[in-house]
Amino acid sequence: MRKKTSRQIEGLVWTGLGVALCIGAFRLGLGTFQSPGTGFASFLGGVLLGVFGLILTVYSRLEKSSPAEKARGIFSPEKLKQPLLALLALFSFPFLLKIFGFILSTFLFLFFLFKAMEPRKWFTLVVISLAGSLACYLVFQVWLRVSFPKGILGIG
Amino acid sequence: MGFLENFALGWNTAFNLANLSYCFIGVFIGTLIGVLPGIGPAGAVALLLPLSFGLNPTSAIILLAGIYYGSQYGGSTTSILVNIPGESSSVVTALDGYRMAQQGRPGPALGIAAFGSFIAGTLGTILLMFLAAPLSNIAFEFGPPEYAALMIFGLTILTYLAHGSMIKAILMAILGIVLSQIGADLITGRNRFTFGMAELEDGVGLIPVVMGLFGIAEVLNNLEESVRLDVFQKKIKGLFPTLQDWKDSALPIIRGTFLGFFLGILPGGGAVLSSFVSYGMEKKLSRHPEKFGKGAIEGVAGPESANNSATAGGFVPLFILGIPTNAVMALILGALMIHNLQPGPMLLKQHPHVFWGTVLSMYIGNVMLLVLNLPLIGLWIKVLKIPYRILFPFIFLFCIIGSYSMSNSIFDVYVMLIFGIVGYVFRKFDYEPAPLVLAFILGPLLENALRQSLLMSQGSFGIFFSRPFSAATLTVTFLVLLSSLLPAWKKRREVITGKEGRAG
Repeated sequence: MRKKTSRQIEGLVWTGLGVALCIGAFRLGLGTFQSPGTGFASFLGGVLLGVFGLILTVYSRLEKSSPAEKARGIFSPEKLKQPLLALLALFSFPFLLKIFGFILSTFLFLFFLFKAMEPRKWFTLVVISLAGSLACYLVFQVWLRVSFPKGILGIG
Repeated sequence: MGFLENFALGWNTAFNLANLSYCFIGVFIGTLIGVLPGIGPAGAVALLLPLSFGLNPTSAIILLAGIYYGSQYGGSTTSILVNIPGESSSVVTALDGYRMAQQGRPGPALGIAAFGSFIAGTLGTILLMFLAAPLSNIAFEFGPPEYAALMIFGLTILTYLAHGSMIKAILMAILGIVLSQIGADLITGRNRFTFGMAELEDGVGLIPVVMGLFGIAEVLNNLEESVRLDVFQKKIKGLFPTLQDWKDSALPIIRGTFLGFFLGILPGGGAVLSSFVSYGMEKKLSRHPEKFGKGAIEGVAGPESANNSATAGGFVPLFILGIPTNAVMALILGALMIHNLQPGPMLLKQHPHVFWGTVLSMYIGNVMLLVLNLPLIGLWIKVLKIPYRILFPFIFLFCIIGSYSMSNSIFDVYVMLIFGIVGYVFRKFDYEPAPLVLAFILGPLLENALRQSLLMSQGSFGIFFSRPFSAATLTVTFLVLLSSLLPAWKKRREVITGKEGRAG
């Protein structure tokens, strides 16, 4: 996507967000200047978001894109693979934590990320993941007494 | 209490064995964070903030402050040895520091960075000590209109100094204020934008927001590129700079110290801006500007001094006015509030041990850092050799644990992950997270000051212009905004903030 078009869309998104915020703030009650209500500050925020969103859109229409900007993409599919895999692991971790408890879910989390990012020998990855999860368990749960879910297995 | 009594109180507090240990842990973690690319001081302070809840307030602040100024020391090591800045405030150090290393002089480069940081850190702490009391007396005169004006000024300066588009920085600041309004309204008790979720009634947590925007987003961004560090392999000798090196560096260190301190006081100024401005200033003042970028020691000494001194300067508005100047200061403000301490002029009167203990610990911390960074340089080089693919899962894990342990809530982990994605996308579209975080912190304070001012004036905005300080502050704010529209000033702003981007 060209950057100039992208900035115009961004501006419209901000304006839309500002309008939505103003509606929400209006429902909460604006009060008066003498006695500002719950929605007063949010309404001001919504107005400012909308106005600056519009300024961004108009400003982007007026300015010229450089050739370098035109050529540069924002998201390139081949670079997205690793961040997406990482996000999959990150969003799965809280589920795993509830089911398996801290040690096992940390082991699975680390193992998946090590394996997904760079193929290595299984044995090496198992050792690093196991050592990492045990070290984290000792530091956070035993020493610092962070209370993690025990999971259905009832361990760590 | 007089200055000497306060100094003695601070001395006793800082030299308490427990506080010495926390100071050491703080500067050690700070150096480690500074050395490692991929997690900055904001992420590290956010990570350790929940763990500091169990400590007494002074120890907690000593620990967190140590991480902050320690990271400025550590950041230079990677800049000089591998040409990859550990922190954004060490970006310019790489320009000449790495060249010096390539020319066979990594020792003097590391040495002058550490000594310059030590001198600047110590002088910055002295300035902080002497300025705090007189400034706090002035701050006693401030009421809600002055505070509101100061916060608006702070946010404007931050957006002005933010890298890239100022409109985008303003949008981020407004979004930060809006996000801070989620939860129960402190005055009426009504819920705002909670969408029926009980977890949001206390608002969105600061830690998940910071960890998501600075920790998760940063790592996701790094995962797109394969980070390979070509670490300096030879044994580093001669860490002590020569007499000529000292002659060349003395004035840049002194100038960097004062420049950094005063830029550190400015909201949004801080370590990053001061290092850039110091580099530009040294290049302009040098008799041999052509040597800059080719291994000039002044290009290391000035910016490294400036970024350390700026960390001390940042504590002035935090302790005296309760106004943080950057994301790390915002987190330290959060830590103070969690310990039921309200930063501001009363802090120095009611809890002098917190202020003076922290300030005096900064002297000790600077000595510790000198020892950590010079004789132990080999250890940090070993740390640098740990591959990023091994490091990043642990950074993720620490972010998850940090946001979870705040209130043992899985909900906070999801909030952090959402902000991680938001931060990742924002980076793609050139939106800086710093204005959002600062506005998120200042939002409730600003709203409160604004509402109180309107109540005082029975609904008239004239109150902001009838009081000299708030009128002057708002006028300067307006002029700053106006100047960003003028082509000549716009160009100047782009030079200051580095239009083509800077790390972090």
